[in-house]
Amino acid sequence: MGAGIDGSEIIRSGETILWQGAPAKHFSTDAIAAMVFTFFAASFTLYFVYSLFQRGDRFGFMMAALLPVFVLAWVIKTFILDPRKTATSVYFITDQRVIIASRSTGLQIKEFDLEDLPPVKMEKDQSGSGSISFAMPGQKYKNHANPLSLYSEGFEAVGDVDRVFLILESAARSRMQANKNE
Amino acid sequence: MSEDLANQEWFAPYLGPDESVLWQGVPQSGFLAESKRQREGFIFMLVVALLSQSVVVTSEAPFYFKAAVFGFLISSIACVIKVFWITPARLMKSSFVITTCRVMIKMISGKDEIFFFPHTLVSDSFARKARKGRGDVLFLAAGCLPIRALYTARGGAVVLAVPSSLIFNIPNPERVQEILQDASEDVKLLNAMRD
Repeated sequence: MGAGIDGSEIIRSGETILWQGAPAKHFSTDAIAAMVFTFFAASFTLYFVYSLFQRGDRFGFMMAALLPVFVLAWVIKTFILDPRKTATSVYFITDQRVIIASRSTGLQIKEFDLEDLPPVKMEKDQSGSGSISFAMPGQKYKNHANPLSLYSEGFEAVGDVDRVFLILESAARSRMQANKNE
Repeated sequence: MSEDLANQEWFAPYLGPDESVLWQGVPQSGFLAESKRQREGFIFMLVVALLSQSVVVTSEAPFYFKAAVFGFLISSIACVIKVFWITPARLMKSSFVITTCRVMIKMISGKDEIFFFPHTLVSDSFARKARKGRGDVLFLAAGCLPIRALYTARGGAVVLAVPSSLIFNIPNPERVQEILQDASEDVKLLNAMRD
């Protein structure tokens, strides 16, 4: 279980866990693409700054010296902060809720009732693993060019994503049926 | 669609016990009407980048300025390639399904991406006809925020849509919109009767 998060501190009494999982810790194609991009970006910025330094162009050097700072900040976010958040995440599907918990800076829990299941996006690779993301209600919509940015919360890098999706669907159906019968 | 044929399709594993397929289709083109302005914008950007490059390359401008203009040119070329070839090629591989319970949209970008919109979350839909009898069906889905406003011919009502809730470049969009609208109303009516 990721980051030592115990289900007992999240699950309510009378609630049953139907599935629980954590992101698989492997290099995704996105991470490999990020590494290649970082290599070229870092090489270019260093060469650029060095060539300006050699020419004695002080203003250009000062301006260009900011580039490695941006690249470094991006590297820290991509390779340290984001993987740390992912590595400390735990996912639950219970008979009542979907829960996404992480402990990167204290215990953070995002949850919603199965009866209010938002639109779902599923990503699946050749091996059958992938992610299930939710268009979180009330989420601030920043990137107007990319509709996929709506689906930012969910289960990342889980194995047999089809099975997890079917558990989610079945749980949502049962939850709605149970609420109607009450 | 026959049941045997439906069982062989990509959406077969996701069909519920009482769910059946009402319509299935694929786009006839990968160019979205929404991206027309984007395509024009990137062509304009490329022209500006080429002109800038031709002026700057022979000038006495500082090295970093030349490098920045060159970077601008490379970015423009990359954007044009993306909007004219890569994105349309990806969108051409999309597939749409309307079932008795929901709309499923499959897109491919390295991985399979499948969007699920239950009819209970679909609040409104309309058809938009383009050339050659093709067109789009746009629908609003709860939880999805609008990407842009589109003005319909129906009294200038504003309809908001996101590309992920868009069935695009299909033949006979009016018929598909009717199927979607009917299915959505049936589900809501059924839910209301149960309540």
